[in-house]
Amino acid sequence: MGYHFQFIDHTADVGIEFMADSLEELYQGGGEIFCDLVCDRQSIRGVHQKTLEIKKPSWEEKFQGLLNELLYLFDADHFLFSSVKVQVINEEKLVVTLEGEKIDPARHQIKLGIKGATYHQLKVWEENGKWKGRVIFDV
Amino acid sequence: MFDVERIDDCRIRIPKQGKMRVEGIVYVDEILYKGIKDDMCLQQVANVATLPGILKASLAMPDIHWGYGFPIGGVAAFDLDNGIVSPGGVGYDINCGVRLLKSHLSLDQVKPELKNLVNHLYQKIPSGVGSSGLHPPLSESDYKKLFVQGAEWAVGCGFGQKEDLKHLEAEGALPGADPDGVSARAKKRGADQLGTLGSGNHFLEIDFVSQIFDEEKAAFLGLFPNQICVTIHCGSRGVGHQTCDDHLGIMLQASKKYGIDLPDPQLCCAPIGSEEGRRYLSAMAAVANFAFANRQVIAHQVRKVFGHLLKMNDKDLGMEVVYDVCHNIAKFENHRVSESPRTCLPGLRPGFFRGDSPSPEGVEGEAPSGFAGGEGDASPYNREEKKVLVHRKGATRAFPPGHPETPEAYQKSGQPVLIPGDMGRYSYVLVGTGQAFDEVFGSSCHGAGRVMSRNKALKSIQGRPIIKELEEQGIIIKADSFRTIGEEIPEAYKDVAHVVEVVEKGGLARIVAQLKPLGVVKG
Repeated sequence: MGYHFQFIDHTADVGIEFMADSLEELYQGGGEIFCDLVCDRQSIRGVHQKTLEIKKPSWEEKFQGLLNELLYLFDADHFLFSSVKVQVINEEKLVVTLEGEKIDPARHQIKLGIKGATYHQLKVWEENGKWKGRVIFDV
Repeated sequence: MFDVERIDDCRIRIPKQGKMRVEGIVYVDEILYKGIKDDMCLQQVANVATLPGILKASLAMPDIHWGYGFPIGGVAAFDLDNGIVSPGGVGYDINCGVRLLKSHLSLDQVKPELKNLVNHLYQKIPSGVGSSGLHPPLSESDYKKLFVQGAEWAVGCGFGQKEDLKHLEAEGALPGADPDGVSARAKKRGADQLGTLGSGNHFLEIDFVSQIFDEEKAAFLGLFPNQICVTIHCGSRGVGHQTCDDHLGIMLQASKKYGIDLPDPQLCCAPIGSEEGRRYLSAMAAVANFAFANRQVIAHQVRKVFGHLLKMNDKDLGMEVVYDVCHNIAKFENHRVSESPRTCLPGLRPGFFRGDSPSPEGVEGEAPSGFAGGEGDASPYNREEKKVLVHRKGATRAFPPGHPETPEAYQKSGQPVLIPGDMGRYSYVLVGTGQAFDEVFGSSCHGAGRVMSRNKALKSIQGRPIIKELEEQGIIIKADSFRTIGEEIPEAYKDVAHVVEVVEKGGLARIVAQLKPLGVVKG
């Protein structure tokens, strides 16, 4: 159980491919690695909990929607997350439970500025019993 | 894969094939072509060529590289009646751009204070991820004015002078902005970010004029050898990123609604005149105006820091705006759109713009008088001109001498075109030409273009003391994180000297001056 990821060698931006045993874990992997790109996840304490609903028509749009929601919470509310748990409710809806805290400049070293998770080469698919996903972030 | 053929030393053609409605033209010589031929950017040029209403060609500038949706360096113009607008042709960082300040200061005056200046600029101008700005959080009423007035609003708040506005593209405010078209989420994201550089490749640089290539044009721009200048590269921050994301969602649905076949979902779009198209354009204009105000606020802070440390007043500093250009934008402009062979302006010999024929002194690139003239004017610039929507994604507007949108001070030189290189080598100032106006909707490149991914760059510098290496070259650098410096090492970029050489050979702009960095603040 779990997820794996690897970077795609994109010239200007940051691309990542994921592989997971389940769709839930694929989304979880996307969310947690996003948080790791922004800040070392080990330094984030799970002192606050938030729940999100992502409603989008396709698996890809839900993936992109989740990542951009995390980006919004970071940019607008200055929240970072150590844990991202995902329930796939149906084909149109995810429920996401987040644990994290507000940025504390004394403890959190921000590593990368991300402008958005793009639709370019965005893909979520099932292959040989595994779920795979790919996303490119504009940085 | 698709066919590619070489047109001349500086251009390749992707002939119309598959669903392409027009051909693709990419301004690269053989060296630049070798660097891009195996990545996705040429496919992206071909993808853009499939969009409805595209005019003349899907174009790419010499700094072309793999982007998302459009290639970086991509230029495409669309017919207002049957063409589209695509947020992917503008990008997340709406009106990311460059501002150049000149000064009365010389290299010798600034060198002794350089470290101090860089440290103070780093402290006084917020940079990096999550930084808060130089203006208190923006209220709804601030936003309403700022989104319409752009840089002028910032001047009204005490950031800079009215004279600055004359030297900003669109005078620092795009028309047609609708403050109510920007979502509450976008406003929240940008509320405390006015006057911040941001992160990634954004920067603030103290430069000196290291070489003048064209003394006459340099004089029009007020540039002289060893002069201190400051370059500011940043955009619309979170408000722009969120606005792009908001509208991509709308455009995905719109593409289905209007039956637009998309080779890449990031190219999602809507007809220019549709409700979705108009909503995006008015929100984009509002956010572009935030970016103009952002650079205005930062420029003001730069002047304050220089004045304070060098104990000089504004008049003695002479830190005036040379120009401020957008390089991620969609704009309504008048252009000639009929298929025309490469022709010369009156008085110029064929082949002049290709650089294979010497130029008659003082004539190059100048438009005949009466550029935008009235009815019956015989100027080649207004013949067959029509209003189109030009997308520039990582490309700079480069308008010629005599164009009504070229500022009065540059009517004889052409609009300044600001091309940053990398933090270790040099940047360039060019001016627009008539040929660029004719062939590429008055556009040029926007930078050097990356050759190395961020991960590769980081891996390549393991153990290397980059900050010390730059210091040994006389360049002081400050950044929020070492990672940013590692990602932005000079080797991660093409040599911008070669890129601008192709720009000039291709007739897209004329090189005026080279700037070398002395102090760099990275986001």
